[in-house]
Amino acid sequence: MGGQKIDRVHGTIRHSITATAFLIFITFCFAVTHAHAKVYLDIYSPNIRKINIAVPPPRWQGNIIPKTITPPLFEQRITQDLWITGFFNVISGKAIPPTMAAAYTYHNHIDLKKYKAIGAEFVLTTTVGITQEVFSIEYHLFDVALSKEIVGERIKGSTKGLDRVFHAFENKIIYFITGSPGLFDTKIAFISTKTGNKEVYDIDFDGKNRKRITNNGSINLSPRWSPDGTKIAFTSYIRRNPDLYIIDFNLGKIYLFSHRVGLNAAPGWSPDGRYIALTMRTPSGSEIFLLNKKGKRVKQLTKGWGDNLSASWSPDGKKIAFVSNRTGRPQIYTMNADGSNVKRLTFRGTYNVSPVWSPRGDRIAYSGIIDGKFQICTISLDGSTIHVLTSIGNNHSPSWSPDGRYIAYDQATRRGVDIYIMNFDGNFKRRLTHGGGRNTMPSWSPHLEKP
Amino acid sequence: MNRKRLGLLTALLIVPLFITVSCCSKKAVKPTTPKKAEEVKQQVTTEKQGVQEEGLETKKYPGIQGEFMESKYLKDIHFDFDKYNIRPDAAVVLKKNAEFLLAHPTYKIQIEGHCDERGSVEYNLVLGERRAKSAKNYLVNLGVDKDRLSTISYGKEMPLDPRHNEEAWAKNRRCHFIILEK
Repeated sequence: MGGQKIDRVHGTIRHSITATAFLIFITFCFAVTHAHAKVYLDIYSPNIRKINIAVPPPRWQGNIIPKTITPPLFEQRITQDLWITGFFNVISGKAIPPTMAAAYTYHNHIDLKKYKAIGAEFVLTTTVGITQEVFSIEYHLFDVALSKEIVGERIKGSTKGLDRVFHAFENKIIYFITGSPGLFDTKIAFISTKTGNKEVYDIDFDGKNRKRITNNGSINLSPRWSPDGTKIAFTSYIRRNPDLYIIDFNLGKIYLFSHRVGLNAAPGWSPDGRYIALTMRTPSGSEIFLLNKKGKRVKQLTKGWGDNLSASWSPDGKKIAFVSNRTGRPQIYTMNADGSNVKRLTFRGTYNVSPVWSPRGDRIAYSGIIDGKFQICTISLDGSTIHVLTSIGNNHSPSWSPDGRYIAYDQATRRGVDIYIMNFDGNFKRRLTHGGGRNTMPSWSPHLEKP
Repeated sequence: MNRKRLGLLTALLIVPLFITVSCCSKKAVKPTTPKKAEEVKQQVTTEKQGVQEEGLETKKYPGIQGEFMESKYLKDIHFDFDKYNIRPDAAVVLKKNAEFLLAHPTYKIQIEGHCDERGSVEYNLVLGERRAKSAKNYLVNLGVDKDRLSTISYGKEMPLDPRHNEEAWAKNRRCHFIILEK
């Protein structure tokens, strides 16, 4: 979505996501090789083995060293960000013998055999160029076993927008190793009680830049990114009714979208962004309705038999997963996008909620009670396999990363409630938020920066 | 309208009484100016009316538009986990609430459905709707005009007791009754 700026909105939006105006012209100056046909790491295979990647300290060109980025900070950031993906053991800092580090940093020399000796499978070298206006990272990625360079290029951007350059650079590294881009330009929207009430926040995939978006002092729930990343829908009680609002980053506005008496809850965007499937009140109970872009009801998708809620579309837009208590207890169901062909999906357990269809279309993640506690699970579309992915505390609100590699969720323990991220198979859990209120209901954005 | 006039009348009767009482207790009372007497009268009216007639208290929820009133005569009812049927103990309370509402036919009430913290935010919103609707139907069956009763679900968003145990959960699974209009 090429940079967004928000500064007004009835005093409700507070922060500005990297402004495009003065930002960014990322250019790819040269590419030595584009041997990206090879996928080194199939991240969708279960129990993937981590790749050992060596990252010697950067070469530094230009005499300006702003406080925000120094050679040690640069090295630290790459190490941290590569680790966060869950794909790498990063060999950096003291793990690289000083003579090898110096050989690169001062003489631009890399001896891949020596890196092989310290266990590296890949070597990533970087040269940072920095002036008042321009920040650039030139990188080279080497395959140690084949003893050859996989790719080398320079990424440039504004010195004022360092993050943007980092995101582009790091996404590329992930791309050349796994075959699809990294997620460093994605954000996770969530709800936090830091101010004493529930407000909408967002945070970068790497845990940086936590920001509050709403500031209305009310109860705000269920933030959901639109598929194009320009909007977030959420429910708020500002008008003494759970109405649906939309944060529009392009317009820099928050506006009321649906305000029928009763629930306007649990928004599910269609993959093309044209519709929202919303949980609303009817005389018989709660039902799922299809709303068009103007907020007008165009169709009732579910009817009768208890309550129907929490719609999540399949990536092809043909099906919808939802929750129904038509048998007395909440279970996950699927139906065609026109409301026909309703099928019950979950039969195990007495309380299964919050279905989210995976971006690859093959599984549905949800939260269900197992031995008295809520755990994040995934289930195959025919219901034949269930994977239980969490085991500590109570876990809710799963949300897939746009590529389906990860699931974000909230975990409540005696310590508090925080947002976590794990691999789709439940491996490599890491905490994304660290207190500052109770942090719940994550929603993962699509890619937000154009490569 | 009539009610207001009645209130004013009682106030007029009560105020002189109040003034004489206070005059007796404190002998060296400064003569009150007419303006101040007016203020005192105002105060007394609202207080006496509030406490004696309806037990009303004006309230506001943070971040939610508008004020409302609560009466100590409108009591909460409670539910079992993941249930919205009216329990026998709740039925007793609802009968008393209905009597109060029938005695105050101008009051417009909002019934709030609340849940305990277990389960998803969204499923609890739906459950809160069910609870509020159960209470509404019960009151309508007892003769309260349905147009006076609106419902809202707060799901698990407004716990009375923030603790994470059975006792707190039992308190939090409730319908609460507020007066939107007198």
